[in-house]
Amino acid sequence: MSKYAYEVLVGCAFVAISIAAYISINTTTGTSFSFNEESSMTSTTFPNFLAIGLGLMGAVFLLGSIRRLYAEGRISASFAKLIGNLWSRQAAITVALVVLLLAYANLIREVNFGVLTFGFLAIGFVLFGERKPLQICLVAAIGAACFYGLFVYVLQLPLNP
Amino acid sequence: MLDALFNGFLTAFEPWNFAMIFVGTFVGLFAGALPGLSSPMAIVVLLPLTFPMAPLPALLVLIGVYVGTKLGGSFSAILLRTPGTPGSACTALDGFPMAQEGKAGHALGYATLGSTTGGIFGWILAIIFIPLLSTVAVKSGPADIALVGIMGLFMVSAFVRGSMMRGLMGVFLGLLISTVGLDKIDGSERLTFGVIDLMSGVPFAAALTGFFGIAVVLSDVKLVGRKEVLVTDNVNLALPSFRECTARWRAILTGSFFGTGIGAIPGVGAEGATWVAYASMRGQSKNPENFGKGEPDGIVAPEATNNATTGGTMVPMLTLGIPGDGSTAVILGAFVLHGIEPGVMLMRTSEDLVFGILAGLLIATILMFLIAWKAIWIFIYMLQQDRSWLFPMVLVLACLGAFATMGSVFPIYVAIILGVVGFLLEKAGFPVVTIVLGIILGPIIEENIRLGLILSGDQWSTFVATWPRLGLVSVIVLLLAWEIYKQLTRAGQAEPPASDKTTIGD
Repeated sequence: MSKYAYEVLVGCAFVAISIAAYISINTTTGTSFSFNEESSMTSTTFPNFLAIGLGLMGAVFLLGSIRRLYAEGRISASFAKLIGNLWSRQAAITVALVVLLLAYANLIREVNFGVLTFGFLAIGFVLFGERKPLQICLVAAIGAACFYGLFVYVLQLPLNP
Repeated sequence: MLDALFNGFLTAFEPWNFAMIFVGTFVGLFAGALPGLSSPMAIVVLLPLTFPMAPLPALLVLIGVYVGTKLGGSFSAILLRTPGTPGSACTALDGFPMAQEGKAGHALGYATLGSTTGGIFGWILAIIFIPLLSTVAVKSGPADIALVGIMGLFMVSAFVRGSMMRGLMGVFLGLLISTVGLDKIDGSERLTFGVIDLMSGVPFAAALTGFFGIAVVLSDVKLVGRKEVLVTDNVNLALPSFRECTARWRAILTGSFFGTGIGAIPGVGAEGATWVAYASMRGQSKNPENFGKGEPDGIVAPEATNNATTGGTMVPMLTLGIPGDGSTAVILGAFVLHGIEPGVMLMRTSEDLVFGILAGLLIATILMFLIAWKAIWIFIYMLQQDRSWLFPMVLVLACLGAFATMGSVFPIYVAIILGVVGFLLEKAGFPVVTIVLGIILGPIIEENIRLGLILSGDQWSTFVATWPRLGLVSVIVLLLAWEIYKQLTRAGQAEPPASDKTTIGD
């Protein structure tokens, strides 16, 4: 039941993306060499077509989802279930993983690569259900050392050694 | 052509290239065997490690992974009734009951036989059709190329799982993402929202990493704490005897033809083809009631189909630059990242590379057989291990893979954002592979439409000016009309909601 509520939100997102894209394409004041101005297809034609097409399909999808949601007859219950699902253990782990990824990206240039990767792996293992500290530290250390060797020495990426 | 093929084999057998095929095939078998890992994901994770390599060995690793995952997926399908890849789902129907009867080794043997023979047949057909099609393809103009790209996207939307509407929405989103950055022709800024890093467009490798790496791991969170129990402890691969192999010729041929033929249709992939082959095989059988109860042909045919698609998908990929499934979409992306432009001119500009890849495809199929024959115990052991150790490592590889493309943090953020978007969309039943194909084909389509218009003096009628173009437009219109008809006849009926099953990229 909550799937239809979820689809309503996805439909809204598609419509919002297409509106944002349409506005951005037609208001950007960037550099343009105005090449081939007399052509019926300029640099804005294709993205405009896509934004309009996506918006129309998004609207049709949204209306269909709303219709199916109404057909279910329990709209508030459907959204309540959807919001309830957000507090599940699975959703919490997913959010924690995304936060962990963002933190990793943010710190990759600031903190020693080996230490950061060790920390990322150790927390990741815990999030994925591992609970033995010694095993976690050992595998995280081996993993971090392997990644360090591979990316810093072999691929020579500009990471913080 | 035979000379070129012979040279391709000579190159592929060079020690470094051969080693790369071996590594790729081994990793592929491993990734395929573990439910939760997918073929495109394995390819995406390995992609950054190939950056320092020359194009051929880099692509050979990825081809090896692509081939290996096909058979690897059947291991878990037979022993756990959980297919490692969507293409192996059909194998579980007869493989698992056979394993329950204490014949797990035989079931694995039939799967290995089907995969290997199917892969070889698919390769033979690819070798025949690729030069033929590329001879026609090189005569195409920009309008033809644009129409082929558009038709490919419509076909992907029509045949991918779920409704065509969702597929088309994914395609449009992918195409829109592909327009971000400075326009190649007049240099105007598009959809950058003032972000300087987006001037050069959305980093392609980061998009692949996000959609096929991070999104997959986020979807696999539901596997946390799940322990796999094999149907039997005693598993030794038992290859069928030569007489038994020849007795299965009908299943092998049926599977191979369906795999190559349907595999060549962009977007259908192995999953659709295996079900068609299975149904056909049951229809031909004298004992259709045995299907679903451990019938060997019910394992051989889908597995032959599954691996024959590797040859089928190579045909549109190497001749037209149109990927057949998620894995070939990533491989096509690897072409671009290694400075090779895929498309109709590929055979003319990089003939050595094309035949090197084709030789690698056959070698990978044979190596797949040998590795499975002699070292299947490794994959069965890994199948029983907890995957919680693996997923954080995949995330590190995904982040560093994105970082490696530009040497900056920006692609990691792009990968994370697109990973979350892919995860949320897949949960709503939008096939992520359509977005990726839109990103890949977007620049090719737009550039060729504009070139076609310039060459024709701004006449849109150029897109229906010849019979082949008219044919392509007709296919597009028919696909659209079919979808509209389906929507109208289904009006008033509730559309089934999206399934919970995660099949990102396959």
